[in-house]
Amino acid sequence: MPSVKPIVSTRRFTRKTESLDDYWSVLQNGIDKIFDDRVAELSFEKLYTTVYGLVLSKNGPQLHDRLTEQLSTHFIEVRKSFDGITGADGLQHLNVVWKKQKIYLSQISDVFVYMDSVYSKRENKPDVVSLGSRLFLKEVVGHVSDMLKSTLVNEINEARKRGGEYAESGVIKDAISVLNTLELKDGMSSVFIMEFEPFLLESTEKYYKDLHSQLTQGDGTSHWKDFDTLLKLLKAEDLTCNNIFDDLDTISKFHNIAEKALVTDNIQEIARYNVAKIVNDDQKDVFSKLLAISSSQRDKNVIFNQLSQFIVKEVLSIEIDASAKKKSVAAVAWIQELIALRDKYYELGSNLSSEQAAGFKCINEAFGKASNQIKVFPEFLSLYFDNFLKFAPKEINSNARKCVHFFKLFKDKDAFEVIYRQQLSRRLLQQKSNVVREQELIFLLQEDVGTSYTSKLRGMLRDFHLSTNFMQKSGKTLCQTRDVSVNVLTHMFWPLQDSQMNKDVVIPDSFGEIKTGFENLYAKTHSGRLLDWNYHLSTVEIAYQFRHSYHELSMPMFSGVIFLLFKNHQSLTFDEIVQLTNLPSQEVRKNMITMSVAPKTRILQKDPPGKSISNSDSFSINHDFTAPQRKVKVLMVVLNNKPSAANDSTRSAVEKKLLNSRLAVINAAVTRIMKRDRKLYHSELQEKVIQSIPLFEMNSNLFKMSLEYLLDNEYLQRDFDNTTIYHYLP
Amino acid sequence: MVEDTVRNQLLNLDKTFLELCFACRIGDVENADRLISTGVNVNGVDEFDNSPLFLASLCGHEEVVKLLLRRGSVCDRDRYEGARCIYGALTDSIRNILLKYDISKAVDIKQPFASHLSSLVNDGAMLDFDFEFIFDDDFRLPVHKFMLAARSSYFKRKFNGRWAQLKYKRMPKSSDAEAFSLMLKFIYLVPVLHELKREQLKYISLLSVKLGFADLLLYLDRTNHVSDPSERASLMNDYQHKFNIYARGQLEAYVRENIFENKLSFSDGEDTHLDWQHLREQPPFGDLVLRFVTSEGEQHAYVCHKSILIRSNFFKLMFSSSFQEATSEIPVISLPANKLSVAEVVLSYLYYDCTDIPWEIAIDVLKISDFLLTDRLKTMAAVTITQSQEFLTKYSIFDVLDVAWSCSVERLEHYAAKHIANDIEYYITDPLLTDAIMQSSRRIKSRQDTDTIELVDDIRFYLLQKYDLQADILVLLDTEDDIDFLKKSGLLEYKDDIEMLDKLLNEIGFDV
Repeated sequence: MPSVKPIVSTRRFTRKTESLDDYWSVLQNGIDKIFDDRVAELSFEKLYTTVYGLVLSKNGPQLHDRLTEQLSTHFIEVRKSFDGITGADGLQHLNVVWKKQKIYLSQISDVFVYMDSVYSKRENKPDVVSLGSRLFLKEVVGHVSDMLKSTLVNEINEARKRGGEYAESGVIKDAISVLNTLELKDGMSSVFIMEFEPFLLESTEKYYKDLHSQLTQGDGTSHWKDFDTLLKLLKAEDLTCNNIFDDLDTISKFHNIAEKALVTDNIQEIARYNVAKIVNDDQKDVFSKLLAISSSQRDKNVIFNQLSQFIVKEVLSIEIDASAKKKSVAAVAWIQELIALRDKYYELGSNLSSEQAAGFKCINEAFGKASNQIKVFPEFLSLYFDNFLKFAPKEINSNARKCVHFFKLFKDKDAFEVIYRQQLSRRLLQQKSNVVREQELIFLLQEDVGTSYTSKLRGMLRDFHLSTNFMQKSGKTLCQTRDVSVNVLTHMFWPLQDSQMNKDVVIPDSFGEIKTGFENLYAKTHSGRLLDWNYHLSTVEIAYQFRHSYHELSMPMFSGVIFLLFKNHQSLTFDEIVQLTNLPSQEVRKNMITMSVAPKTRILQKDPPGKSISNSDSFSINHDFTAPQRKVKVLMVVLNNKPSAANDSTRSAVEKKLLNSRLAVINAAVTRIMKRDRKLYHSELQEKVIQSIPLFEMNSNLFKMSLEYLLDNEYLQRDFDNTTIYHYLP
Repeated sequence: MVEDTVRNQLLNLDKTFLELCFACRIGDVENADRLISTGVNVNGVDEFDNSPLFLASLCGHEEVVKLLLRRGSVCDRDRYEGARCIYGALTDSIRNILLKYDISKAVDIKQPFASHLSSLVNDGAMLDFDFEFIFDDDFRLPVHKFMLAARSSYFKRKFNGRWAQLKYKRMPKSSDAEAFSLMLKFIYLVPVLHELKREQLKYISLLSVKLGFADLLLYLDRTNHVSDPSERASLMNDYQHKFNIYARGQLEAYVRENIFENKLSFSDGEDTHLDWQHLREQPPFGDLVLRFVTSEGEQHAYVCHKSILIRSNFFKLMFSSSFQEATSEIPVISLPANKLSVAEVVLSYLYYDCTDIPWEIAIDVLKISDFLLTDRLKTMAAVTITQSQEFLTKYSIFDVLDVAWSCSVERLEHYAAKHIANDIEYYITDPLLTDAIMQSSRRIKSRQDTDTIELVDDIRFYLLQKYDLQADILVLLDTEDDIDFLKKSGLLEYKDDIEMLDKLLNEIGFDV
């Protein structure tokens, strides 16, 4: 029980209702005076107390309704002032009128604050200011909106024509901000956003479409696709909008409309025209401007795509000098042109500002794409390196670095490796290059592809290095009278071809001694290794006193073996030589041509003399031989009979080898993937295999060959129902 | 010895403090606000060494914690009391609030009246000033005479004497305008302690002596010996609090002596012939006349200050608009106060945050604050009604309900519903309850978001609470038939009460 006894109220809940009309007339009079700019005559206290009294006596709804009515009547009156006003004056009038009404509304709102904060809030009715602006919207703006719209369109288009600098911009801007403050309902967007903006956007689209067709149909020039013109137009649009709108959202909407009508709708044509123009005119610094004509990534991609196509076209049009005597000359010339092209586009790329990364990506991809289309590319690239290294450079220069970059871009890296390895082996064995440079270059190459790719190349260098060390340490003990240098080459790393003649050849005893001496010596330090001698890769140096001069003759091993036969024989016939050396006659013929036919190194005399060699020809030392230098290098003559065929056959051999190794890689990849996934669709499998092999581009032929092989050998099995599914057979 | 005195000071065991502690425990923000406004020390501790802040954070009342921090509660995590609050906090969000609190930045205004006064100086243009200090180069510092007179005995003497007719005072050359301006800010309770520069201290000290600010002098002396920044900040905080309390007392005295004492009383029609102009030159140097007629028909008028009255939104709108009142020099405004005491409460609140509202006039204060759009005073009046023990000896609960509805005070609606629920046997026969239910049902139409009668809902809710029951338990108890248990649980009595209510509703014609 409550401690306090409740007492009976002295009050009743019924309240006498004040006469609404009396009070309302006070307020009505007040509002009229406010509209009449005679607010200073009014007592705030009196009006406020009246509103307070009415709201307290539950007259809130009537009060709200009457106020609504009063405001409506007023605005209908206001509307009349718009009669006959058009053009920019209409906008100006709107601004002036609204500015005034806003003041009135705020004064009325002050008086009605008790209604706002008690009645309107509780009943979710609009407060005086929003009520007033809604009524203004309905009664005034609603009736002149057609005039406003057409005026806005005209005025904005006029501003555009003047590049955005327009005297009436301020008026337009004010009118738009008026429209932006008016809204139909609480939480709804402003009337500008709801009604005017879509209309203006539509008219903007029309404006620019018209402009576009005007430009295209005009004087037949390509003005409409020139990016400078487009940029100017878009800039004018931005300036116009910036002068008129405050909302960044709106500005970007208008910009996008203009951009779409002018640029995006014709982007292919524009890209083609401008890229060609920029590249042909060599205006590398304006490319970023071209990109600036569109804000959409898709348009930019079209432009980049166009650039990429252009690059590929240019790369493919570099001519290969077929008339060059040596392949390496053609290769170097070709690569140098490629480098020049690359420099040109890189300059273009480095002039881009924000899109630099995308630009370089596009350029690189284009070069990669182009080089993949050129069959001789790996060979040319390798030849370029070969040529570069043979000149024993002090450092890897920028051109070589650029070539390394090309290497990174193109796909068939395994083909390059095969060729490069052959050339590297030749350079090393013939001591034609600086080992340090070789190492540096290999290091650069492996940056992108990883160490496994260059393992063979590095192995070759290591072999070479170890052998040099070994010879330095223990070579002295091998033979006191002769300089001997032996390179021990690991079979796996080097592109060696086993040759029967290495085993068959009869070598002079002096060589034999050294050979067994070395084998013993080597076995001491490296047990369990089998040494094969590759005479065809060796050279000998023989000192001989000719009649007129003394010469140190450096020649291939087999030439040396033949030459040394004449130590014991005055003269020998071709057949006798074949017999004595146990070499194939083809090989002997090659050597004999080198020594008895080639004019600079004719150290043997042939009888009868002539260019060709027959089996019955006899040979003796040409004592009359002489040369300007003491050291004479006897270079193996390349037999010219059917040279191209031979060349082709070696190349096709290389290709075949490449094919086999690729097949092996694919087989391994397929097996690995299937082992993991067990069951895959054809296309899925192909996708995954392509991803797992970085060194070359797999074509579907190769893939099919691999699958056939694997199906035949029961690594895989086709699904019985769906032939595009493969299962792994464990 | 010294510690004992300090402890006795801190151990603020007066009734208001304990009430504050209770409000902090139950999370009654409004009551806590009212109590703090009476000037109770928010950093005191109860007999168990609990500070209000600790209690509020321990019990998880986030709004109370925020209020306490706003009103000057100190939470220094480097000290025992602060750390205790942080570790004791019930929820993470309270802990974050406490952790974010930084004592060195906590020099902002604590009391609403103080923040209003400082806003007069801080918000740029000083409005309605009536006196200026003019320095070299025509640098002017505008002030309100009444404010200076209230705060400083020196100025009071001057304005009552030789400066009474003056509109400005030219300061001697070489006066430090910057330091003087700080001093004026101090008078307006702007927290300036952290702005004081070393070279100004001497001048400020001299001014303090001259103007009679003993506390400021004491602070300047003490702060000289403190170097630790945290301790300094805490000292500043303490003193700013003291200044506010002291200033409050000064304002209170000034209002009593100059406004209430100088009240004008007259009979009908007399005022129109009065010449208000001379009022500006005598205390309280007002620029506005507030008149009202008591229910007994007596006419009174107070001379007040626009700069203070604009704390009420009613006056703020009035004077910031372009209506007649804003343009007349000394406007005469009627206040709908039916008692002298009501007008005094309103003015005391506006001048110095006095929220000590006698329960007898609480309803009148509530209504007038609704009129004046001073929400805080309205809340305070509502709190007074709900806290008062004697209120219902004079007023009916339906009076409360009436005012709750007409002024939209939810707190009172609940209070009334609870009261009715607790004594339903008595009220069920009262025709006024029927009336009230009818009235509440009529409010549905306009609310629309609920289709029940709010008053009835509230009464039902408090009936549950009365017997300590919960809605989901009711369902369980429905199947229970152990009479003893039901009796003990209070369900039977609850059902009786509900039945009574339903019967009444049926009689009125509502489908339950």
